[in-house]
Amino acid sequence: MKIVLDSICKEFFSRGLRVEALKSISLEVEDSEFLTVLGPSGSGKSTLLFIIGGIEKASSGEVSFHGERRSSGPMSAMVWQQYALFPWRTVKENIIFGNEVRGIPKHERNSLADRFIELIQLKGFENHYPHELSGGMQQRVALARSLCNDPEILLMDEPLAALDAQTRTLMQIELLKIWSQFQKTVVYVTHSIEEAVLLGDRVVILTSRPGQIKEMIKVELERPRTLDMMRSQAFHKISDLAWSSIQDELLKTSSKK
Amino acid sequence: MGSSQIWTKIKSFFVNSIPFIAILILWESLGQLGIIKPVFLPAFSKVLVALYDITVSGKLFFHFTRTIYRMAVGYFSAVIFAILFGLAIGLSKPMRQFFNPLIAATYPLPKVSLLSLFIVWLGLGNPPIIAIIFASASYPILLNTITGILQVDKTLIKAAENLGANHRQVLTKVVFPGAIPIIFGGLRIGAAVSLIVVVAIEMYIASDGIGYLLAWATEFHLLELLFSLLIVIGIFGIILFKGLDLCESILIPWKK
Repeated sequence: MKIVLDSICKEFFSRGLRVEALKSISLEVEDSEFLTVLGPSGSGKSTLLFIIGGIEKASSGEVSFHGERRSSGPMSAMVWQQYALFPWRTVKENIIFGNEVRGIPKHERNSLADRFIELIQLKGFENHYPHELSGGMQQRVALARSLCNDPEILLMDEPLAALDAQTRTLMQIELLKIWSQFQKTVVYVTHSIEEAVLLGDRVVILTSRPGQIKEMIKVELERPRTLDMMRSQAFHKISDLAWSSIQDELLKTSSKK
Repeated sequence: MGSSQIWTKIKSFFVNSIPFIAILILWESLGQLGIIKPVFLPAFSKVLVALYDITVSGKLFFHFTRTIYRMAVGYFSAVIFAILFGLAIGLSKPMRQFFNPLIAATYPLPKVSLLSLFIVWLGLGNPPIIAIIFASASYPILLNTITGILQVDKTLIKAAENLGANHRQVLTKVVFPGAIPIIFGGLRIGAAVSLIVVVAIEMYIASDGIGYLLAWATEFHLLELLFSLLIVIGIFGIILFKGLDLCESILIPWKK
């Protein structure tokens, strides 16, 4: 599914003051593309994601989707930074939530759940509650829950930000493996430059508030991506490019605080 | 459960018993050694004899069941009313705006002070006692239900909507289960309040029940009986809370 954003603006009021979060964002995300969005905190990255997902409304501008619907599920599914798993549901019950509320028959749900539990390698943990799992495992469940709903588009809001550095790196590779099996269109928000380059086909860099597109970098690394690539010349070149672009924005943000 | 777990449980039971045993030994020796006169504090063994007497005579059972009956009727009607009313208030902003000031104004009022009024309205006997238990237990359950509904993580609600849940499904599958742990805290406080209130009111106006027996023992200075009743109330309190613990572990298996 292709996503077209046409001059998206978002403003809101905070304590009576008008705050401009996003300013004329125009952007096309190709079908099955993995697009990463990089920006300083407060650049409206998450807001942009919420607007694409229909969770928030843009103040002006338009989001449209083009292409043939291939799945039975909703247009998009969100993966949240703080996992947002239901604490009263087991791993399995969390994964099939979307199918349950959409009225998919029970036997179908169960076989789907089994398939996804296998996919995220949590066999044996089906009946555990989220609080009994590590952060990495919880985020895998959250990913499975979104994928199991069979959306056309996966929207990910800094999904690995709460993990420790090693788990995070492993999860990045695992995420890519899972993504390559489904070939969904992904918009992935992060504040890590390495992560944005390692995962993305393209990296969009946003300016500090109000968020505007500062630069679009194409990541010319072949897939499947590996951890070894992170030590390659090409990877460093792209990362440096992203870094120099975002540096001024970070400085702007920090001087404001 | 492994044998090491059972062993840990037995050990913790004995560790928990130590303060009680220490107090009982001190208590008994104060009486036996004549340090404190029996008119002020009867020896623990005398209290046990009194407890035995009221148990075998059936007196304890008779009065205890009266108390339990009042408490149960008052408490459970409070549970049903307060949870339903709390859900309505928690889910609706106009309801909250209307009822919050009323709740704030009436909550601190000691419900026991309404006793005379309830007697005028409801007559003597069980109804005014049950009404006061109901009123006293309702508030903590009501307030916790409202808080429980309001504190449900907004991200979870957004996540459910994003996964395709409609308004009704968000309520039944996210808001209600998310509120249960807090509501359960209210059920606990309500149960404790009910026990306190039923005994206190029986001391005033009842002609049977544990509270009545307590007042009677005080009037005739039957300290052995008085202490044996306090022990009964204490043991009942422990059973009540262990029972609530059990309900909680069944109702909220996901709790940390």
